[in-house]
Amino acid sequence: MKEPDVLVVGGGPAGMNAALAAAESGASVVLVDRFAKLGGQLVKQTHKFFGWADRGAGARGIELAQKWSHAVLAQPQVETYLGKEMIGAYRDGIWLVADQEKYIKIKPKRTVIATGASEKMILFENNDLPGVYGAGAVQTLMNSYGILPGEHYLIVGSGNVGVIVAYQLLQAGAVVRAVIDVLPRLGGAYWVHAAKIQRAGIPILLQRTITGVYGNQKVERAETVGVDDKFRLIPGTERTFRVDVVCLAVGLTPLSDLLFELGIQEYYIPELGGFVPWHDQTGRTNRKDLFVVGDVSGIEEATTASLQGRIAGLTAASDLGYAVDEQMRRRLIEALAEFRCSTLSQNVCSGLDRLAGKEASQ
Amino acid sequence: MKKEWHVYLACDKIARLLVSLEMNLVCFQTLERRWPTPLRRIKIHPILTFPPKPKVQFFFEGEQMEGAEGEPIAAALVANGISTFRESVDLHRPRGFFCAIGNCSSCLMVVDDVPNVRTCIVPLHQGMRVQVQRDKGVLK
Amino acid sequence: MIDIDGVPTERDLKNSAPSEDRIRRKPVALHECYQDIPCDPCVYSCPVNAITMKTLISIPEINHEKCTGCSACVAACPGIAIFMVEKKDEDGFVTLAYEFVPLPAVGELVDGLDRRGCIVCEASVSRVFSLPGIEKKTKTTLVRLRVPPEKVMEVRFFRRRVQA
Repeated sequence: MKEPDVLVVGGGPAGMNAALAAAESGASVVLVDRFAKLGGQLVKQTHKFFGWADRGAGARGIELAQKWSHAVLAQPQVETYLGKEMIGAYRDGIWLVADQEKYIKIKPKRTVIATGASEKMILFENNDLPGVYGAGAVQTLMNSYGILPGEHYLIVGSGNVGVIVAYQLLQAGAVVRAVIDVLPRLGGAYWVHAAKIQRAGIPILLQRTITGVYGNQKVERAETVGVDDKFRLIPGTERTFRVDVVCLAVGLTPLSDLLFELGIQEYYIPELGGFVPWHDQTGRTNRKDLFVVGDVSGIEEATTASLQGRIAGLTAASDLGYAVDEQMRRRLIEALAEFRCSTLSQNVCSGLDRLAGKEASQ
Repeated sequence: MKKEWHVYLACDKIARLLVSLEMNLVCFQTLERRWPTPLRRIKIHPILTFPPKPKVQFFFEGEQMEGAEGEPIAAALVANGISTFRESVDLHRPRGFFCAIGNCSSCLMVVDDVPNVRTCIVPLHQGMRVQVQRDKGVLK
Repeated sequence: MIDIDGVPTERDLKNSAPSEDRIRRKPVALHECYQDIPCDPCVYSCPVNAITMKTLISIPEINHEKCTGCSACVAACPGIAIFMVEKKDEDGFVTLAYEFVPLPAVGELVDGLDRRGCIVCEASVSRVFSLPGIEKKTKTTLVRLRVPPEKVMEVRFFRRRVQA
């Protein structure tokens, strides 16, 4: 049995930074990720990130993934279990990690959960037909493995994920027919991201929804229809797109199965993507030894995830009596607040406020 | 050249007008063919480089195919143009790639006689035998 | 409409566009960033401190008089929302960040596209370059297009024509 100070579940931006912060403070850390490679979803982000120039803004996600994963692997205090999956959490504090061959028991003093999010699905006819992809899956295929799953694409959802995937598809040489969204205005995409694809000729068709995909054993065409202000379908506005891939970018929901298993207090906050664990500003849940950071604590983005990870890592280390740079921790909390000041984070902030107003049951 | 250009310009204007009117895009689609048709495997990319990996042979439903060593089995199948990975258990509807991160179970296949292998995260190796899974899977 | 689909209108553009007189003098940067994104690399990229922001989430302000037209911010902007415009005699020039391959050749004739991807004019590629430092790191290439002078505030992208 392993008995590290801190166990980190998930090796994305939040998890890697939590591991680094805890290890740099002197704690011993075990980091588990089910992929063979660190980086989480950063490894497929080819666009440049926003943020502070002095905190690495302007770097592409893939570069950040590399930087942080090198740091984690070079850190002697961090033991990484890659390609291994967290399959169970027991009430006596033991976590079970497994790969194809064996189980490993881990009994940490503090645990940081950074499992991220999974993609949402929407209803339409034949939505299980091969050729209907999660937008993240197309990103993974194209940016991690260099494979395009089709030639012509329709993207459903005009949030940042949808428009960024459209841009990345263009970069990879594919044809994107359109980005559609049922809302009367952009579904959360930053204006500059939306402008980027429209000037390249990809139309963003608002107030339009997908009603079905059809084809012989795989998607050959997608049917869409316009909707009115009350989301009622408008007959006569049907339009067919001849595409072989439909990318769904209709939102993310926290991947909190592990937390549910543990009986962590969760609340339904739609602004944060669904059921989210209650947590304070350091990420601590109603179980004192358990922290949540990154998308699992509410859907946001990579910069805030990395800050959350740092804060939780430092807090976990200070819990255990390691000397932690308190000033740095305060600065990180301030930076996180500064980042969320923007009107673009309004939704997230109101969600977090609602969450903070809820009780943390013991 | 100059004349062609004017014709093209006019065509594009009409196409864009049709787009703005949300009409069906016959003209627009013919224009779109100006983009080069992509190959399954990306050859050039402005940001990323895909260093060539050693090629391996594997078998899908008995048919020999080629993939790159270590890439997920499902990725190699997509690169070979395969879209159906499994069938739904009751209605036997085709299922393909969906999430790519081991969450959704849409890509469960029989690999070397082991059922329920999440092919989107299991690496490909030389000589693997991959089959479409049509039931819940039986361990032999 | 910018708050509907993110494409700026003339009214939005008025707020950030340099004066006609300034565009005639020498190249000048303009941004089309109208949302309070928490982002500031442009401020730090400018060698003459012509770009300022009150806080991280403010909208950048470019001092067009200070701007020397060096293009560093065009390459640095993560949102690809900064452009360089110039009018010289009978020609207009637009410099933009281009993240696609293959790169066009100098002298190549391309379609100049506006903010909605509609073709507005024929453009020719006058320069394809990258600045040492910024682009080496981020692999952003800059392309300078020669366009009719009245189109410098319209052309924001281009499309290569199919090679015969």
